Amino acid sequence: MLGLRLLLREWRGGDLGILLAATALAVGIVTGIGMFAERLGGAINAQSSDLLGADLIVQTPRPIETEWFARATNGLDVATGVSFASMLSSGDNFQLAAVRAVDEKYPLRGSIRIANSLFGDTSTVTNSPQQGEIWADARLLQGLGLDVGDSVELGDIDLIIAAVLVSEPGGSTSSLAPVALMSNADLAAAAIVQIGSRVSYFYYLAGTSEALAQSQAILDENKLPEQRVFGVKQGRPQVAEAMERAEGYLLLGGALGLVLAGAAVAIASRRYTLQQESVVAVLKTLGTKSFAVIILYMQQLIAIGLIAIIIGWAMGWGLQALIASFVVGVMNVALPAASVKPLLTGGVTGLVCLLAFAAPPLLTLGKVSPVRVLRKELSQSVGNAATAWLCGGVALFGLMLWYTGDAVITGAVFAGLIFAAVFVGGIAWLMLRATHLAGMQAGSVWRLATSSLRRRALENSIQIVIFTITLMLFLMLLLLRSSLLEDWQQQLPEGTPNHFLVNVADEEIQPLEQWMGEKGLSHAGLYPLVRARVIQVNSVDVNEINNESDSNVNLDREINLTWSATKPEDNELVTGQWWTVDSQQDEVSVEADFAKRLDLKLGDELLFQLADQRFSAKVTSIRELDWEQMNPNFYLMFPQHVLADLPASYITSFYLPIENKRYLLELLRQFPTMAVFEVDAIIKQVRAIVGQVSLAIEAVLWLVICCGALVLIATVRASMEERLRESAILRTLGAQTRLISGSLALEFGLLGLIAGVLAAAGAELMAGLVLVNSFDMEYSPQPSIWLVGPISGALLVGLLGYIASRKAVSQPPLLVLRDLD
Amino acid sequence: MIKTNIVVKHIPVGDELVRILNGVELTITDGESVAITGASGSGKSTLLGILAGLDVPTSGSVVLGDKVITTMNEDQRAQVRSELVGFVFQSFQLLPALTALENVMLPLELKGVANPIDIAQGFLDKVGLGQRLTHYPRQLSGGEQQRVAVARAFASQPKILFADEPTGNLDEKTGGQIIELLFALNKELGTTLVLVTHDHALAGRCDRHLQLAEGLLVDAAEVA
Repeated sequence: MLGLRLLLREWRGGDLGILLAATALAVGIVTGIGMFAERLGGAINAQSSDLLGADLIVQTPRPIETEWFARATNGLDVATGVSFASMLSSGDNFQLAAVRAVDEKYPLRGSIRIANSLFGDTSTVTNSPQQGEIWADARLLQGLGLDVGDSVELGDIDLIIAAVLVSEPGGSTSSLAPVALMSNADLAAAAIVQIGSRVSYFYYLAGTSEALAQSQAILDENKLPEQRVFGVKQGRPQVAEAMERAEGYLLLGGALGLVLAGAAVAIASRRYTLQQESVVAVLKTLGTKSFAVIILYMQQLIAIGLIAIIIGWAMGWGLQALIASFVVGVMNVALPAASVKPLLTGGVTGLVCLLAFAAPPLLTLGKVSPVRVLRKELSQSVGNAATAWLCGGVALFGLMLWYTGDAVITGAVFAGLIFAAVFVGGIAWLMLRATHLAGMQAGSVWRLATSSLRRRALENSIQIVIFTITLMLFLMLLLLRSSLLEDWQQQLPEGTPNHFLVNVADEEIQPLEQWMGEKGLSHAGLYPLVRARVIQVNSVDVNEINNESDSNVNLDREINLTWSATKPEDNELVTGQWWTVDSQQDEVSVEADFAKRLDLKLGDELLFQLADQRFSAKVTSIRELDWEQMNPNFYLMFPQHVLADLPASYITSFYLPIENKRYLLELLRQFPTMAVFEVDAIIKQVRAIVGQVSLAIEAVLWLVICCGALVLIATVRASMEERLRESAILRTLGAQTRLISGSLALEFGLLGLIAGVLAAAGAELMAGLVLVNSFDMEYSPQPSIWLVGPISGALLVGLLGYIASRKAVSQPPLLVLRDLD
Repeated sequence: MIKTNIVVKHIPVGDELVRILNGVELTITDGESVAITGASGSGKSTLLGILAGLDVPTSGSVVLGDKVITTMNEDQRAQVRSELVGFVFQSFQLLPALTALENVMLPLELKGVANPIDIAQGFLDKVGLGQRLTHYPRQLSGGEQQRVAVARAFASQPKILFADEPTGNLDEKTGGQIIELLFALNKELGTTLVLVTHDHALAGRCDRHLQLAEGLLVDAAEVA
């Protein structure tokens, strides 16, 4: 094939290098980020699964023995558990506990933290209690007055307390009852689970992501309303949100890389096309037909695409391996291998980029007139850049949408791009004219630089648009990064309460606060707590309301109610109104998820039962909670008078440094009826995940910055020829090398400065859109960006201009002119 | 044979139409060598482009061989060019990415000739560049580049060779060598030669010398 032979020969000539490099870069970035994001996502998922004890949990009131469940669990590791409330006893002491009986495979993911004595040294294990043993948490042991090694009665059997249960993956922090873990081999002998007992069966599932996705699909399709399926997202909302945002950020980073690489392909192919015009004219002179010309260049394009894809794959793989090794070194985590999907995405991206950005200008080569060999000024067949950009834009939009699967992110990026293209171009043009006026008053370096800027106002405006877009994407990622990191740091700052204290009686509040004061501790506010069950909504039994929902709301047990005159600061009203201080109405404010579970609207009447007491309240507001905060959260809140006559205790949270753990024993000795929940292990784990995610975000930011730098280089290079030709002529007229270098650096520096100012505006706009709409966060403008943008723009672009011109300026002018001809 | 009938060419310059050719009538027989001279901007290259089917006239017709190329589209003219025509240009028009040998092979490959390397090598030998086959244009002097262009023009053994200021970019001595080469090959292969030049010595060696003035072609002898 002539096209391929020509391609090989052209390649030796060196002109195709840029086009190939840009395409390989596009493939490399998408593949690299895709692979890295996938591997990191896998690692984060694995860590989060550690928090759950499984990748996926199915909770059901009865064992599932159906064909579809067998299909859903096919190829997965399965562990089972039964949880129930039961009375444990030792002598005359009785304590109600939430007991979970698990099989020997539990936990499938993560580990269980146990201690050898009450508040003693802890260690992690990956197995569950042996037959005949039970692991009880500190509260249960406190309640029964027992410690490790003692025996406890459960149903018909006695079990040995083999360890203190500190934290276990499947453990729930929302249950207020003490917790114990035992082997399900003892379940039958204990004879505690009878027909009609209120129990939940758990199926813990773990496996590959493909198998899990398949399983999740089967489960979603077949599960009954009372059966719940939850993974990390439903099980651990704090981690899930951090992960979702990180995933969004990584995808966004990849998408921006795509935009930049697309731009590089477009710039390079336009340049290549211009270079090929004279070649096509000669080919046509020699009798080549238009169609043959097109075929020839399409063959070249496909060949370039294939080569670029292979190089890009290698590049992407190397890139992600490098970052991965770095991440592994810092975070000490194992990253799972990536699938072939990123390779596929990268390959498709490369081909689409090439066809959308490079093909349109190359196709115009068919129209080059052969008479150009006689009169060079007759070029201009490649004129229609607008069509090429439009074509590229549409393809890019499609690719981004496919790649991110997020219309909001894609839309925000495109809004920014269109802003840049339309407004920036115009403003840049005006600013360029202004610099000329200023330059007229200045010295010769300035005059040369500014007159050169003004003369090519249109080309320079286009160049500014490209500089602006590149800088804008950097700045936007920078803004998002700081917003995300700041948000995470705010969520779990040092001193976040890591212990919950419950069962605080009214008369204990004052001595408790005094005790805390002595120890230098402080609590995060006391909330009254009344436990009752919801039994009816608008006179309909809740058991008959089987609204399908993946919410965490469990109506089978008592719910924590509280009263407050004021709305908690981190709660947000979705609808309705908070009560006034003097409200005498029996009203209730409901959490949004809870409202969804029971299909509640404003004005609905809820009936509650506590022992033999019943009371009702009308829904007057619906709230959203911030589950990321380690503060006590309540589904249902009332004005004080509604709960005034009911037995209440108080709940609070406080921060206790690890070295002061021993205070807990002292606390419980002094207040034997109170109970302590330790959540410091969970906080530590969440922090580790957030740390990992932060690092990934930094890595992606740097990747995109590298990619953008290459676009800047391509743009500077593309415009260099004419500038060098002029410089060479100026030098033959006696201009000093320093004047030329200086004016070129200054010219590019000015371009960079203008682009930086415009980029700061665009970045604020885009970052705001993405944060508010896609990350569900607030955005506050960051003034520093208006300093960072222009300064980094001027320095970066000025430096690139200077470097690109250095070689040519140091060569004799005649050589430069000859090389350019 | 080349035959034109009242060839007129207008070229838009700014808002105005400039009449470059004003009804050119010309017949050139097979094997004849014809020089066209004229002042700068008189339209010599425009006429050459139209005669060779690189460009189309505003009105009038051109017959190349036995084909009326002025009624053809660009692709049909390309077909005619590949069958009949060879070119030598003032600025050589070698493809910079191809070696000397590859540049000469190119028209043969486009025509689908069986053994392009041997033929191309033969013609590069003829022009004295048998030792420079793998050199790129930028590694060759101007005279050497034009010799590669001459080899390329003759390699496909065209019936008609058009030359646009073939010595315009060369010094006198090198230009002289190129002229010798052109006429030697013209004689050896029986090619019709049409050349545009400023060089009256070169024009004088042709069978016929025509002059383009005010858009019309006249016999140089008559003008003199």
